[in-house]
Amino acid sequence: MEFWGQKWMYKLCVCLLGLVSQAADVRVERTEVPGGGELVTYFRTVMDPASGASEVPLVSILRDTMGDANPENDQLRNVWAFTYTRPSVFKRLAASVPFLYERMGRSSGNGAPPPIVDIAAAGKGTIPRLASNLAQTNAFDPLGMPYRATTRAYRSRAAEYRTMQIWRTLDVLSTDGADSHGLTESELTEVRGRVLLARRLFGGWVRSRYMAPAWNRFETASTEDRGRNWEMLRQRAEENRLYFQPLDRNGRPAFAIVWFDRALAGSGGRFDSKFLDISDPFRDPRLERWTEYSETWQLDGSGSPVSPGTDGASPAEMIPLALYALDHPKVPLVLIDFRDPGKPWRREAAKRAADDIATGVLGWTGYGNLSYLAAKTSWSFVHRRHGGALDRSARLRAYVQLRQTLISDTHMDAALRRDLSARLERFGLNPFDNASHAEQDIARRQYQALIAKARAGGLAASLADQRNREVGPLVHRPSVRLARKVATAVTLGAYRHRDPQTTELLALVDRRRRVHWHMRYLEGVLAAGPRPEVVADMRAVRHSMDELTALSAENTELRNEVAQLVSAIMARSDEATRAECRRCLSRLADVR
Amino acid sequence: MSGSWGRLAAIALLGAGALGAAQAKRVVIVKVDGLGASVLEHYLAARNPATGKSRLPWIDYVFVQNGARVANFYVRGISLSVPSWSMLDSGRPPVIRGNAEFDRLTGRIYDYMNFFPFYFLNARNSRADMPGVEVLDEAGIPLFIDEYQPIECLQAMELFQRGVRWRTLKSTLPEKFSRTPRALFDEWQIGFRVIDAVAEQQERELIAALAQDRALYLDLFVGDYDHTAHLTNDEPSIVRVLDKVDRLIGHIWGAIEQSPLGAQTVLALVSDHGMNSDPSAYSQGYNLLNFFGSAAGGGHHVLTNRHPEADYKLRGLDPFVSRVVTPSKESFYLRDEADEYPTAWMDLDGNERASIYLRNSDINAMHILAKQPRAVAVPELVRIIDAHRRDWRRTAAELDDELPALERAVARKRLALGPQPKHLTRAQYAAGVLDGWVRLKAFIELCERHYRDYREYRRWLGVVLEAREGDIASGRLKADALIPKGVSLDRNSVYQLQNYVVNAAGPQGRFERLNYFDLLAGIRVRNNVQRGVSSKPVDFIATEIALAAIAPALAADERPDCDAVWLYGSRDRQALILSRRNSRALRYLPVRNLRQDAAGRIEFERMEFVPGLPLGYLEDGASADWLGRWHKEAEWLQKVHRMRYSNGIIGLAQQFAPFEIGEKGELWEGAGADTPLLRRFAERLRDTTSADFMVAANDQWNFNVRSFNPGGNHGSFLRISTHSTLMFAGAGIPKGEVVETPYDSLSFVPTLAALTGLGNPQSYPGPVIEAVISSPQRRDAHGSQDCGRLSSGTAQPF
Repeated sequence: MEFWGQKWMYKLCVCLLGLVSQAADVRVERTEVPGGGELVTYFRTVMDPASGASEVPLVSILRDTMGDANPENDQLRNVWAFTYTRPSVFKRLAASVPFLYERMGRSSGNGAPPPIVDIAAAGKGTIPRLASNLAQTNAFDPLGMPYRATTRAYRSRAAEYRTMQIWRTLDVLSTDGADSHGLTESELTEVRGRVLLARRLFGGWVRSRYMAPAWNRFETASTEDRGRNWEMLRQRAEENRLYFQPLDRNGRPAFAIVWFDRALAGSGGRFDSKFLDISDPFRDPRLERWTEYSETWQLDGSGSPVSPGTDGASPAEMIPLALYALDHPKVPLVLIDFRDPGKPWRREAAKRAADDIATGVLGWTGYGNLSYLAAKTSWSFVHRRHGGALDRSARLRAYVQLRQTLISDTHMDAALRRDLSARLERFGLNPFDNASHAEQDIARRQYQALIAKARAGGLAASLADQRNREVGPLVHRPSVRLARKVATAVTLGAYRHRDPQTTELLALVDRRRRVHWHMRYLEGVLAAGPRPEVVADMRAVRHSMDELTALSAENTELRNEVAQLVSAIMARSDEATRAECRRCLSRLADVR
Repeated sequence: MSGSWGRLAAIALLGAGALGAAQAKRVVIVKVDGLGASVLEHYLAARNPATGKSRLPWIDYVFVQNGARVANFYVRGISLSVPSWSMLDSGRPPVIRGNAEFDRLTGRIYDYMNFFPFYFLNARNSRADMPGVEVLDEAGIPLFIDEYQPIECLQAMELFQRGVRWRTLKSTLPEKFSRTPRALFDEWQIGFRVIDAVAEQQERELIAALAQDRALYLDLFVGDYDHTAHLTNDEPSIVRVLDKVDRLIGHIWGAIEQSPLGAQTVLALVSDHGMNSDPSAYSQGYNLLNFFGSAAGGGHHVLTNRHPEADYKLRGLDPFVSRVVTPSKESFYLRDEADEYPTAWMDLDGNERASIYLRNSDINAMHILAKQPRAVAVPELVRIIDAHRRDWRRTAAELDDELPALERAVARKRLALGPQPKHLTRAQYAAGVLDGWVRLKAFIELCERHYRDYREYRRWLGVVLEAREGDIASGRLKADALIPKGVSLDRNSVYQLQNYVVNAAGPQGRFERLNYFDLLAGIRVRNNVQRGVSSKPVDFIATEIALAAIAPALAADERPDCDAVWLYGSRDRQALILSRRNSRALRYLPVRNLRQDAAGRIEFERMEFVPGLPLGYLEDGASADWLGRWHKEAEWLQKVHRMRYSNGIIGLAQQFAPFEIGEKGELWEGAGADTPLLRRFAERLRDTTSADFMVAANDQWNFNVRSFNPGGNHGSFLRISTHSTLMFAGAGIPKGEVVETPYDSLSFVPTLAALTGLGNPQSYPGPVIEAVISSPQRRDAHGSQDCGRLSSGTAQPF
């Protein structure tokens, strides 16, 4: 208990002093929320050419702590991305215009942002989204092309905007330092998994135990993509007498620029654009007249870059040809083509236009038109096999990552960063999107609004709602709960029953969560192998058994579950643990 | 069932009487591909902060606390999966020396890692065993698993697999999808992993088989670690795979403890090689396929066993492809003839080394001459043929003896084969009756194919040996009839590799030539962006020099008794590895400027031991005085195993050593007087798969073309790649034992033989790891051994 006491004191200091932790790229701050919660906020330092470095709050996660220092009853709740804002009316109108692939207007960003996901109720938005899909196919599509095209345009852009925020959130949570003094490793994995699955229609219905595998698979695939694309691009650059410069981000390669020695302009010779996706630089007259960004490198006699001052080195003017995202499936993705700035935009717009024509104009929608689905699937398979970048979500992710890198990178040459930022700003294709500067302003305003809401008790109400949902089945009959749900639906949310947060109710929530925590812990121990004493700290195992025995005293069904778990542990354990198990089982039996 | 395998079974049964002296009745082997010892040791020593226990608690509990670890266990030879597993499964020196090999004389491709064709053919009762096993059978080399009856074995899907457990595949999907709808939904959302399902099913079957006391040999192959470590150097990803392996060990150990034979079971954890993986650097690839295809590299049309994956062709999806020719856009004299005349062959899964086969330089010359005006070309053409005439005549004469013997052997086998067994009982299936018949049938078909292929080669020999200048000059014999299609023919000598013909240099029989040693060693890359990684992809090139050629250049005390291995680092950094096989001794001789002239004479300059020589033993602390003398292999191993290149000298000597055919082979069984001829033919089959040279990659470089493996690679002689895992636990294995004495691949099987009492450990070339063999007192403490073996009549399949 001394340990928990210490932890409680620490938390008090945190909330009173606003203690923060400093880490590599991201700073984490914990703020107490009235009503028994804590807000974990991730700040990123951004570089502004005019004003220098400043901080932007990017992501907050609400943790329901029940107002104490015991992590066993904690529950992660909402995740907010502060760049995710409710669009202005103008933006909404613009998003309804098919084939309009431009960033339009600017959102005010007043008020707290909508959450990306509620960890405790991740499936909440599934039915409304499913209903929306059904409404689209059954109500709007049959009305004809104008309705179909506009509604589909709006919905796809809204979904894409949300996906961008999801990628931004994951980008922040994957940064070095994101696990420092913020969330525990398991909590961070859970949040990452939930946010990742929030992209999928039914992702919210996936159970918590699958969050770790979902995230781990994604992250492993991402590291594999980066490595493969790094190597592919390096080899392609080498074979084509170009220069490869990887750009690390938090110690991991994320992007790369391919450079060209201006002295070779007009020299002709062999060039193979496969996987480079750029036009032949050796025959491009633009490079002979190049006046845009370039650098001076030192090259040795064999053309290899060397440090300044190296014997035999001579200066060479190097022109950047393209910037690639390495974290992209199959092939590196061109995000910036220095000679043809509009090309990535045109290519992306063309892909979207093709989709919009098929679905919005022609009404060929997935399972609604099987021939189209078969043709598209086959074409996609072949094109992907040949290295085509067909995954829109992956392309979005690459774009988001580059944007984040450019606003926070401190190692890149300032002029290059400015140049890249300016080029990337032209890449906006979604009317809901906001320019970088605007996003930062929005993020700061929305963060302040959220803090104000928290202080005013707005988040406390949200915490209370969730606690009610958790224990509702225990305190109210099913018929009563159903009647209340119907009333809420009929009144469109105006009526919402809230049980008062009495000591008894809070104790019920506390007990339920602690049971869940210990059950999950012991189930994890059993899954780790046939002998718990080999893999686990047996003091912790025995503590969990003790806690469960005490917590299940008044619930017969739970007592039986606990007894089964304890028996399973007893069957596999050493004598000391078996003795403890027997004691627990005896106590469970006595209660009966 | 054919005689040879039946005999093995009989020997096993007879040997059952000796089981009373055995330490273990049952052996369970977990084979983890690519699990390097240093990685494993690192995570065993690391602590989980939440529990205070090892990061790998089960491996720590089973093998570190309660078993024996061989801390210095190395691959003998190149650290590649196929050759390495062949040694670990047979206990014999490798007769397979790459993941893919090519018969120089017939063009046959041995693709050992492609299991699709094998499964397809097995389903049609055309093949019984994986290609690697077939090659070992041809060479008369049995596997350790052959010591057991089929009903006593549960073998996993692996490279040296006998038979197929179709039940595993049939059960995989039903088991995978027999979960609750909720679990299926969750998995659907995060992505189904069917390949994991196969591994899980195999684990389930192993656990179930352990509960039966007739399962005496069980193994499980885990490829996840190797796969992941190739693709990524991300530490969390690697750790997750290790966690899976650790849990697997826990499940198996738990099942062993619960099983009836628990006290009589030995569990072994073994890997085939390590992995050169660095969390701070990517492994960089150099594309030798493009190199050889370029004009600077010779303008070769390159034949590989698969499509380069980075081409992302649809054709690359075809699992049955084993012959792919990448045409050179800069071919000098074979434009548009790529498919008929590939001139370079290489294994696409290069890893840290590439074995290169080049068409014989003189055949290139003949081909170039065949395209020139006859008046000029014919005399030169005939001169080239005359230069080879003696060797070709000898080969022709040998084949004239071997091929009829082969034909007779095939006829004998056909008589023994009989009709396909039908209406077999489950017990007969379990006893391998059908497998045995299919195995013999496949063997016969392979022999027939060899016969056809070598007859075709013999026909060509006849044409070329009988070619007369007049016939060629008059056009009666077309010059291009002298050029066989699709084959590389005889190995190139050092002279030929230093003067390799790639193009005509004007008329009158002059040629443009390349020196591949200088060329390859001189490769530099411009884009080298990782600190600590050299700009030079090639570390050294290794090739063999025939004894007859090298001996005259050596002093009497330097002379080996077999071919030497020449290591080329640069013009002034070279070495010769000299072997005396009779006394199992090796010597390292530093040289420079080695050259061979057209007459075959070898010349070189001796030099002192200086830094920068191949293998770098001097830099790692070995004295020049010690290095400059003959030492037994065991002395070398003891001296150098901890050095950067570890047992590289032994590995290189092994890689280029003569092939050792087994004593008893299906091919010559019952052959009487034909036995020496058939054994010679079996040796020829292996000998003709020898590459011209091996290119070893520098640290953090690789020669993969099939895919990019930036996470890590193996195949070199660097310690990080050769240092492998070997641990034992269970019946009589001493607890907490760490064996510091170094051993290599050849010690695994004799140690198993000593543990189980099956086979004669002394008949294997490698030493038994005595430290894991318990004393009689320790054995008694674990209980006596029940020697009973089941008869095949009553057993059901696992």
